[in-house]
Formats: sequence, C-alpha cells, structure tokens
Amino acid sequence: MNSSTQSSVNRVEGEAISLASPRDFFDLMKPRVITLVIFTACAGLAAAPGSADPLLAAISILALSLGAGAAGALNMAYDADIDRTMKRTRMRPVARGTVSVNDAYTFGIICAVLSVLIMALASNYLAAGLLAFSIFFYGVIYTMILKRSTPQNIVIGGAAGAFPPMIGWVAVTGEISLDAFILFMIIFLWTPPHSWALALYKNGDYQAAGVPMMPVVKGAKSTRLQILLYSIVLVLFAGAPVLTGLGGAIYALTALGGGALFMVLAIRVFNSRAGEAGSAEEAALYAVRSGDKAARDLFAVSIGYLTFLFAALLAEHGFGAYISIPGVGS
Amino acid sequence: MTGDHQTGNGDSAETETETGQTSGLAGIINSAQPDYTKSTERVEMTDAEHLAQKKRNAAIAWSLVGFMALIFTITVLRLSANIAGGAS
Repeated sequence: MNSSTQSSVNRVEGEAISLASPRDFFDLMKPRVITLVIFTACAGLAAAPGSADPLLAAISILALSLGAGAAGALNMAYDADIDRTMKRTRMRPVARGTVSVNDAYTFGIICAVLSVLIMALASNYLAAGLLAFSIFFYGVIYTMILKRSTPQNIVIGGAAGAFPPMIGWVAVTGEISLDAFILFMIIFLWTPPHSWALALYKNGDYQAAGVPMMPVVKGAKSTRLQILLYSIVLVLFAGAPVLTGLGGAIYALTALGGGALFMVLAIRVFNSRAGEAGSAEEAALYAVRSGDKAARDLFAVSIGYLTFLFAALLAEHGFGAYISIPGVGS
Repeated sequence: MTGDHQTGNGDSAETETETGQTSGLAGIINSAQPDYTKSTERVEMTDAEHLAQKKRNAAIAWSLVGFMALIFTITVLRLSANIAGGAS
C-alpha cells in the first residue's frame, strides 16, 4: 500500500491505534461457551410444551447467544488483569492487549442491549427480562463482585450459566414452570463439581492470580469432599425430569449411565491427591499427578455428561424419540 | 491501563488502585471518559492499522445489515401471525 492511501487520524498522545480484527471481537464472546449455551437453550426450547414459529425460535436462540457473548466480553474486560497471569487465559484478546478494556466494555454493552431487544421482539418480555438478568448476573454480580470475594463464587455465579434452557423454555411458553426450574437446577448443581475439578488441577494459576477459588481458600481435601457431595446431589437431581414426565426412557437411561460414570470419577477424585503440592519424593509426586489426572477426567466427563442429558431431551422432544416410562411421570 | 484494578481483594467491588484510579462500576464509568489531560496528535496510520480499521468497518457494516434484516424478518413474521390470528 503506498502512502497516498494511508489515512491520518487524531489520537490521544501515547495511545496506540487498535490493530484488533473482527476475529478478536468474536473471541471476546467466548465462542466455546456459547456452543453449550445454544445447545442447552435448544433443548429447553424443544422440551417446552406448545409450539413457536421455527424462524422466531431460531432468532431467539441467536439473541441468547449474543447475550451470552456480551456477558463473556464484559467478563474479559473486567478480568484482564487476572487473565494476564493465568496460562489458560493469557491469550485472550484483552489480556494480550489486542482489544482495549474500553473497547471490550463498549462491545459487551452494545451486544447486551441488542440481544435483549431482539429477544423481546422475537419472543416475549419475560424471556428478554431473564436474558437481561442473566447478563447482569454474570457480567456484574459474578465477575465484578463474587469472583474476587468468596470461594462460593462459582456456586452462586453458576446461576448465570443455568439460565439458557429456562430462557429457551420461556421463549416458547411465556411462563416459568416446574420443568423449566428443573432444567435450571441441573446446570446450577452441575457447575460446582465441574468448575472445582478444573480449579483442582489449575490450583497454582488461581493462587497466583489471587482468585479465591475453593482449593485456594479451603484446600484441596475440602474441595474434593465438596465435589463428591455436589456430585451425589446432582446425579440424584438429574432424575427429576423422569419423575415429572419431562424425560422419557432415553433420558432416564442417559441419566442413569452418565450419573454412574460421573459418580465413579467423583469418587476417584475424592480418593486422590488432586490439587495438592507435590513433594520431592517420586511416589508423592506421582500420586499428585495421578490425582490431577482424575480431576481432569472428571472435568472432561462432566461436559459430556451435561451434553448427553440435554441431547437426550432434545432427541425426545425435538425429534419425536420420546418413550414414556409406564407408571412414572405425569 | 484505565480499567485496571486490584486482585484478590475480597472486600468490595469498588476499590482504589495504586495509581489512584477507582475500580468496579465507578472505574468503568471513569474509564469511558476521554482523558482531557493528554493532548491529541495527528498521526499517519500504518498499513496494518489501516487494514485492521477497514476490516472492523466492514464487520460493523455487515452487522448493521444483518440487524436490519433481522428486525424486518421479525416484523413480517409477527405481523403475519397477528393477521392470521385476527382472521380466525
């Protein structure tokens, strides 16, 4: 490009002109998290009684994805200082300096407003209100208050991630029912064992960043016990859709098989030394490493577990694979 | 950076940083204000900066077109549903 095509601009002295690409702004929205949001919202939408215009339903899902992306952008803007210190997050656009903090906030707020507006137009005001609340909950309550102040951060903050299937449900029905609440609770109860499994083997990262995750504050042993307790509650609660008739035979089998695997891995983590500092002794170091592997396995399987539970609901209600269980459900 | 804040503090969302800036919600509002203490300068953009700006502008343009299409689609679907509902 020759100099005649170059533009001159006013800029504040000492500040760089942005080199951020659209891809960097897309990465701000945490696309991998959004895929799970879309998936669980689709399950909620399909499982809800009644019918919605397919195109309007698709637009509602798009609005929800945009809202989740907005929350992700606000999170990355505020947490840039933490992200810079952690291996897992240091390549995020704000942390590596490609997108400025101000640009990330602006992008997040614009996306949030547009997502709520689109949701209100495409579905109903209750769904839009829930979406607005979930963005606020994640972007402000969790990110700006809970995350840096309490080891219960992801327990309470997990509510933000639990909203998508409920919003999908409400987009169709216009009301919150028991089944919508059950879908919410499944993700809410799933979040602690899932996040703490990650925190156990990334303990050093969180400690260095000063984030009061459970293993940092209460220690690895207490965290492993709490993972086990939450896993028991989760696996039992995952059977609730069968009792209300929301889940059929496919869901019941998935919840049973997935729940058994989840429990085996949670017990393995409980009996391991995951999250503890290794000593110079080879045997102790090996025990810690094998414990960290158990925590990694639980983290990976927990994602599959949730995916399969909601895939079962999607198959039963979206693709006509529902087989009722005699004598169970309403 | 204007949006920086302390970590692991635990007391509240509004804290004073070492540089005297406020974090939390007040910090966000403050960081959005132009810094009038600094003077502006007129600079030539490099090729990379110019290309990045062009890509961002194109993305914004396509997003606006998409948004308009979305609003149009929603309006047509809602109107047709209401007309069908009114006719029955």
